[in-house]
Amino acid sequence: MHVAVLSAVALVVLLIGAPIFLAIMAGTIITFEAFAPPIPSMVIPQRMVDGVNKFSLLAIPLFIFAADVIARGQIGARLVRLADAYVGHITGGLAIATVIACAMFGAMSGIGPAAVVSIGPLVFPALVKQGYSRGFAVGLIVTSSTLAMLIPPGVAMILYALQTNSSIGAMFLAGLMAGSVFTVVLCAYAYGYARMNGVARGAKLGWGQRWEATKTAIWALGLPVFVLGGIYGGAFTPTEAAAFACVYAIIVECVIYRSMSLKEVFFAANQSAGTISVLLILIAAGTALTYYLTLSQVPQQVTKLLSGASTIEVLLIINVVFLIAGMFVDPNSAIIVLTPLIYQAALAAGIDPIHLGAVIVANVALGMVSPPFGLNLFIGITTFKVTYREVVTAVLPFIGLMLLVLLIITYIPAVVLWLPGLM
Amino acid sequence: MNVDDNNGRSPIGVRLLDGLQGLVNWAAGLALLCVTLTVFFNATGRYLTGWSFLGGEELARLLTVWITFVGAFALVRQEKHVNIDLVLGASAPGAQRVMRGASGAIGIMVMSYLAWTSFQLSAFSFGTGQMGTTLPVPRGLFFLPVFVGAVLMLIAFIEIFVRAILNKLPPLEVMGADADATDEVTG
Amino acid sequence: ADVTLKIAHVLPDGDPRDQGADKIVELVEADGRCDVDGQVFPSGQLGMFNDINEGVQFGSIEMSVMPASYIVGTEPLFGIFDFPFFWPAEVDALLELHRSPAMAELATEMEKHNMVMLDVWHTGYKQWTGNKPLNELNAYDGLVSRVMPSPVLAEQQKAFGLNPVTMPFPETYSALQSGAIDAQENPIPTSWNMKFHEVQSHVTMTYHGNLDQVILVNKPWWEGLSEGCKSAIMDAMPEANKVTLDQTMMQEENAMADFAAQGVEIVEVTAEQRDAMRDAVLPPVLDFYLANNGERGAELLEMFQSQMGGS
Ligand code: NA
Ligand code: NA
Repeated sequence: MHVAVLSAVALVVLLIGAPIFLAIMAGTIITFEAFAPPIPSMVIPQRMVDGVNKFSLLAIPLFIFAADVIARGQIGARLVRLADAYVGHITGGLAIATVIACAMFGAMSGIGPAAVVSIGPLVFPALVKQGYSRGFAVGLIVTSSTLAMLIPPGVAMILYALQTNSSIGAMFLAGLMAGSVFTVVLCAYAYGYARMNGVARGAKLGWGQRWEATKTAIWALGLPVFVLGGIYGGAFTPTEAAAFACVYAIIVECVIYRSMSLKEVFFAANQSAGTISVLLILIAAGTALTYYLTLSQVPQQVTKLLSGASTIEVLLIINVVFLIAGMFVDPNSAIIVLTPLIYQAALAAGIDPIHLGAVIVANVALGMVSPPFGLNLFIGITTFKVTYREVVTAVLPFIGLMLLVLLIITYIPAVVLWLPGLM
Repeated sequence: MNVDDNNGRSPIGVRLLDGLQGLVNWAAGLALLCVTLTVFFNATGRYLTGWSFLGGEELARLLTVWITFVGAFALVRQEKHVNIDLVLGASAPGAQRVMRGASGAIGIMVMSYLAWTSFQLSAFSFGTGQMGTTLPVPRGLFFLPVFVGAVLMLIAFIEIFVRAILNKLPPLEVMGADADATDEVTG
Repeated sequence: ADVTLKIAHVLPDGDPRDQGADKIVELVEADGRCDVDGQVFPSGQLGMFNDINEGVQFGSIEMSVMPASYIVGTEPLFGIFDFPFFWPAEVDALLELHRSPAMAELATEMEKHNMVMLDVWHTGYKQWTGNKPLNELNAYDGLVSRVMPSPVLAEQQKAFGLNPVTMPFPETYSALQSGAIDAQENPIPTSWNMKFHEVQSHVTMTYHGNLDQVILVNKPWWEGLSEGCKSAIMDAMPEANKVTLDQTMMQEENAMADFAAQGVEIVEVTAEQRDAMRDAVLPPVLDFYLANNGERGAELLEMFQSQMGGS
């Protein structure tokens, strides 16, 4: 009963276009005051602060800041040149280079849309000039950018690990596997598309030119090497690696590439602080909601409801729920609100927590490009000056590919679990 | 929010809020840089010399809590929080005005509640004299930003509500730019 | 039900202290003197240490099972629990001390924080893990160690000659693996559950401290209970205490067997080595405690010392 009231209040507030955090809070507060046994109300702000007062969570603001610095500088451009130097001459080469550049970008950035704006404008005109349709180019870029969520580091993976007390490192490795599978699928599709449509190839570069491209990108490449090497070599925790990424990116852009001034760095910090506050207040509100749901035994009831369901059935339910949620709300809100609800049920059905995390993150990554509200669609609209209808049509084949990847990682757990298993 | 500019000047209250918003933005950026450097130097310090500032981790968390709750005020004023504008975007201007006014009213209620409860919580925590676990500051400093942020957001929602009544709301941004403030990331 | 009883702790479902908390709920719910609706919230579901402490203080949580080390931030006098080489290394003597007048006196200090302390549960002695034997004081010199966020424990580790760093518990494993941290102290079952033995080669049996749990309740809630409920809860306490103790012992046995099977070196400490460590480590910690807790600290310390001297 109280959960119905909570959902109804939240839904009405959502539909009139109020901020999501406000909707979550309004629903939580009203039901808490109306239905909970007498508990001091100051527990609500206490839970909210606790939601964002966590060392592991600091990785999120830091990776957001790093992404902001990178998106304003030259690191992206040099990566595109590098990928093109090696694969530009094969069939579908430029499209494959785009996917690879997005994957490399993903190894430094933890959030979905950053690659659209930093890689997109560099490759979009070149793709169109070489004969790819505008729709294919837009679809390829907005979809490949979601690799940043799967390939570590990733904010969505950190959020999941925090919610479930899982190892962030193991989650990252599972994401790396899922991201690699998706990268391969995207490259294969790019190859097939170029072949079917007779898209021209680029000139083959000599090793001298390739070395030149590698040299100009060496500092950019250092970032993922240091970040991932630092985490898995054990020098840093993921949170510390995120701080390292910020400082490294600032030094490379300001001192080595001289593409940013310190003033611009400060401006980036201002902007990042805004993004961080948007995301973290949502986490704060989500923590209050989770508290109320826990108090009301809702996760236990969901577990009871799903008891007896097979692993496959539970996974299917999780797929459908997160997919639908991902179409309407941003990935982080979906993880924050839904994970605590289904987690116990999934464990009871014998699903590995890390596997579950990979499935959930892949689902919400798909949500980033799913109409009606996939965030990357809108970033694509503003970046490439296309219409909503154009971009939705463009991503449809890519959504098919992502569904394929999702099926693979959902129903063949070994694909994502063998690497974390080696840890 | 410069929409009261029939003759180029906003009312003093609005200009005051604009100034406050600028100050909050600036301070939040500075706090983020502090968080970055604190975590960075603690990690490199431990790795290179085996020494690190014991309270550094807690300082970084404290600043993050402040960024979260106080920074949220600036985004309420710009109407840049993550929302679902499916219905809003498809509605006629009159209906939009009603809906945005209603959002403001809900914001006023929620923030009043949050301001009151976080005031109680902060007063309670400062009253116990509880200190941070590793940082020699009162634990109440972790709760104070909720109160400060809630009061500021309360003011911002009142402004939205009043603007809706006076029909002085700024134009809605195009769909997409408004769909999710994560686009801030992209600059 | 007339009474709500939410018990919060931060360990996973099935942990010894979780089973102890379950026992309380089971016994009190079955007890005809008290109409209670009990529920245990494990795994930090209602918040982590600070949040649970505050919750018990302002009444959003009725009862907590909390490591005494995490009370020190609220009540510095409880730093006595963190003293190294101070508590009896035999369980029976330790349990007797838990039930002593000195402990009852210390418990009264919680009342000004709006809490009542009902019991102390033993959950194991702390032993060091590292990549070499740590049975000699000079072996500790310059090692980087993980410390719980407690000033007394930080002081203790410095007295060992260590460089203490705070680190979130879930990240400790990978920090040990990489060598970012060299050593850590915990009861055997905890080190085992966290799989620290996979990334550390030696366990040194120092028995240098204990990680005991205090059972705290919200004071107004407690005072508002019927006599029937109070006695039902107090009568359930010894049995819950015993469940936790037995489970801890059993886990410790299993862990030690597993260590042996996995080739982890178990290093014993001789009485002379232990005395040498105590003489170096305990005095600075006592000084630190006394400097921070004034006369009342000295008074309590003396009570515990005479209790132990007399038994
Ligand atoms: Na990434
Ligand atoms: Na009963």
